[in-house]
Amino acid sequence: MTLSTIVGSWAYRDPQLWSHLGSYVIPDAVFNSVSLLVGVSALSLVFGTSFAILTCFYQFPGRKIFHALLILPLSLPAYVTGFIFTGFFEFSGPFFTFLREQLGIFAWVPIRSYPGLVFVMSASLYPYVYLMACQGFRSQGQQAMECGRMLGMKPWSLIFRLVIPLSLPWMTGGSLIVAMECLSDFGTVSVFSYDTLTTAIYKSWFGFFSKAVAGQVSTVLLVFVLLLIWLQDRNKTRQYTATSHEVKGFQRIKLTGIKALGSVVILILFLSLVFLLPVYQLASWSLQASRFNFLLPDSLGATLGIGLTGAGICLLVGFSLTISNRLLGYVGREAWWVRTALVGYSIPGNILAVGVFIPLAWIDQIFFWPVFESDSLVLGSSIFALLTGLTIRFSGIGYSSFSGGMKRISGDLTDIGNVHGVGPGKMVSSVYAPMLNHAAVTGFILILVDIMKEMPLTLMLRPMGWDTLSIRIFELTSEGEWERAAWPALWLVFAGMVPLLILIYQEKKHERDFENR
Amino acid sequence: MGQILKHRCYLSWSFFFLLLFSGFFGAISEAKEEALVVSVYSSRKEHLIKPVFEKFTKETGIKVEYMTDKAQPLIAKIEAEGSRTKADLLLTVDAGNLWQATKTGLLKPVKSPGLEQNIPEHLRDPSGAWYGLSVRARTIVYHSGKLKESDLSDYEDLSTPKWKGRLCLRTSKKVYNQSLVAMLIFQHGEKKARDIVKGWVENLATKVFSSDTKVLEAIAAGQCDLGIVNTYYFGRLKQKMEKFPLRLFWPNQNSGGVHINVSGAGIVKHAPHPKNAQKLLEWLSSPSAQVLFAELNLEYPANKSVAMADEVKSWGSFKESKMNLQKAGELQASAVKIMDQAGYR
Repeated sequence: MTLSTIVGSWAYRDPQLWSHLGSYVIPDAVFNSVSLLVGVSALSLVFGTSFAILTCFYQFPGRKIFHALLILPLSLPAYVTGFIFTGFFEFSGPFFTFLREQLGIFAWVPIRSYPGLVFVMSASLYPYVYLMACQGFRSQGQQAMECGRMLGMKPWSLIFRLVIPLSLPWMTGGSLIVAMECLSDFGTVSVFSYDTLTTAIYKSWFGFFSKAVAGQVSTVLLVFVLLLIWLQDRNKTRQYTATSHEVKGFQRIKLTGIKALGSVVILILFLSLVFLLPVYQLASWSLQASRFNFLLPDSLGATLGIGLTGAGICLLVGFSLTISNRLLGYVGREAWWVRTALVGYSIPGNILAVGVFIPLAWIDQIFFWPVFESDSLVLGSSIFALLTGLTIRFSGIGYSSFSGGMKRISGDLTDIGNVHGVGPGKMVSSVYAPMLNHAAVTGFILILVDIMKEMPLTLMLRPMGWDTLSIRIFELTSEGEWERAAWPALWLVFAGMVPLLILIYQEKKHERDFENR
Repeated sequence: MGQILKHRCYLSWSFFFLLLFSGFFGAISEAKEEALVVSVYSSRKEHLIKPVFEKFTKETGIKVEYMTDKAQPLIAKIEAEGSRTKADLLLTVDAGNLWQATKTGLLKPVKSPGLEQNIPEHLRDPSGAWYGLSVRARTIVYHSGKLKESDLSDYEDLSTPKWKGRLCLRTSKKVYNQSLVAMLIFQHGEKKARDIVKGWVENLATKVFSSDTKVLEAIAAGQCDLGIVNTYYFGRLKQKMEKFPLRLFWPNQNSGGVHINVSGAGIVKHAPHPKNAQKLLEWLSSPSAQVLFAELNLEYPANKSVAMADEVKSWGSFKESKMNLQKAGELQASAVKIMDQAGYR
């Protein structure tokens, strides 16, 4: 539906505007979008995988706590980290001002540059890779390690020559989510004055007042999205699924002395930069804000309501997509309708909002008004529109989560079930659902956190009075009111931390359950 | 464990249907409600309009519902909602947006002696589709420790080589800069305007900033010597910082005057409560509202009979550009093109 609205924009042409965009805007935008994508995916891969290796294969003091802390940066939206970092490390920010005034050092490094942007985005997106990599290692680890040990391989080569290649599909899956987030990001790149396809879309819409051209530039973006999805496809067909069930926990290699200390120090430094610094800055800004009080922001209710419902729906959709995939025989591959559903994740929120709103308003006009004689928009302005938009956007995560779990359920099970005369319905409820429970919880929580952080879609489609925390933050930061934005931002972080901590606890329990079998 | 998943399913589904039906019933019940309400779609932020609307409700008893968003999505929304739109009044913060809403046929022209008397001619649409409510100036700000007033003259001068590496600007993507360049096109024509903008770009000390506040902070920290900002950001930062070595300068006093812009409003064509909308609009142009409206954001009241806040007065008086602001909207697309061609990000 959304795609047709976007593609339909080609019906209206503006050759003059296109020639301008073509010579001045699009080439840069494409180059920048692609470089950003490559850079952030690569760096997130590095961060996510190396930390996953550290916490999954090695034992050192505080490992469990670090595992939890490494996931927490997910609760910080990238644009919040973005404006905190630029605020902190700018020429006029506290860090370099301190260097100049107290230490007389006048050298400075511009944070608002390509490396700065890549670092900031990787810092908030790497947890996706980290989580996926951990899942991969856990499921491939034990058997592979045992085989390797029997063949006399040393631990180092075991990890690098055996486990990592086997877990590559998981790591790539995480990377692809990161890549999609990159493509659709607008807030962070704006703070860094980095022109990408999303800013070009905005420019067409807001600057040139042309929704049609904005839609057309969106199709350029969609080309890249489809490319990513195609890559994901190729990646999956090369995947080899060895196990049909999760493996028991294994012996971690114990780190001692210098190695242990080094690991701890690196982790502390990284987490301080990536999580503690932003939280501290938010806290100090909150206290600086005039008229500050400790009251709960009123937008918290809306955030939670929309988040929980939205996550539930996305999960159901993701679940149906996965099940339909398997039931209709697409073991290890993806049906075309599933791939179409995944596109939603990469569409920038604003575009998606328009793409959803216009059809819904049209449906209202055609259907609801004559029938119910209602004076206003039933679909368009109710929470339905917002939930529809969020579902289109985030069902992809639900699907990814379930499909990862589904892969461990070998195709044989379906065949066995068929042989025994088990109908699809029973198959789903008695076999698939219990086995996918872990994936369901993971998916629910990831979607919940993403919805709570989401801003452009919610901004456009929300009914009156349903302001979420993200919207509050956006309104205030777009006016430069960092201090007033900090309190809702902190609440957003806390709201995000709770489900993430549940996720971590749930993973541990899951691990323990298997170890005790 | 599968049970829990099932229960979650039921819970989410029930919640979903509950919300769907509540929205549905809400919509139906609204149709029968009495019209002591007015709906505003505003791109002016909540903390700046809430107190004003509360005052209106207190004085008239009419409840104000509002929704905030950026101007373009609001306009798209009103357009898509068509004849059954919920919006009574559209309130935006740039004349370009108001112009575009007029052009798209979303606003209903209204003429009332009260409005015409309160709001000067160059601050309202000639056909009465929208009226400016508060004025902000986009002017030059400089570091008082490094520059004197006599060093500065006008916007065009900032493109000369003597300012190389000393200028800080906000991104061209912000509509305020687009309107400023639109004024330059109006005064000098496209070619000369493009040369001026090119000159600015060559004089930049660093990458363009995403906000006026950051421009001000950069000048205060010494990263550059001067820049162009909206007056109210200057006022806000002045109230926050202890050491504040910045000062405002009013350029173009011997030519076209300082570039100004308005936040303003217009009645939506298919407004469900047009009478209330007009009441609100007229009230907003009246002295009692004007004082509060402008003061909340350290702006200049559009109604010239109203006194401005003391802080604002302290910045001095100046000659403002008398170009009718709907021109800013007309020329906005050209302005963006020129900025792209000049490499102004």
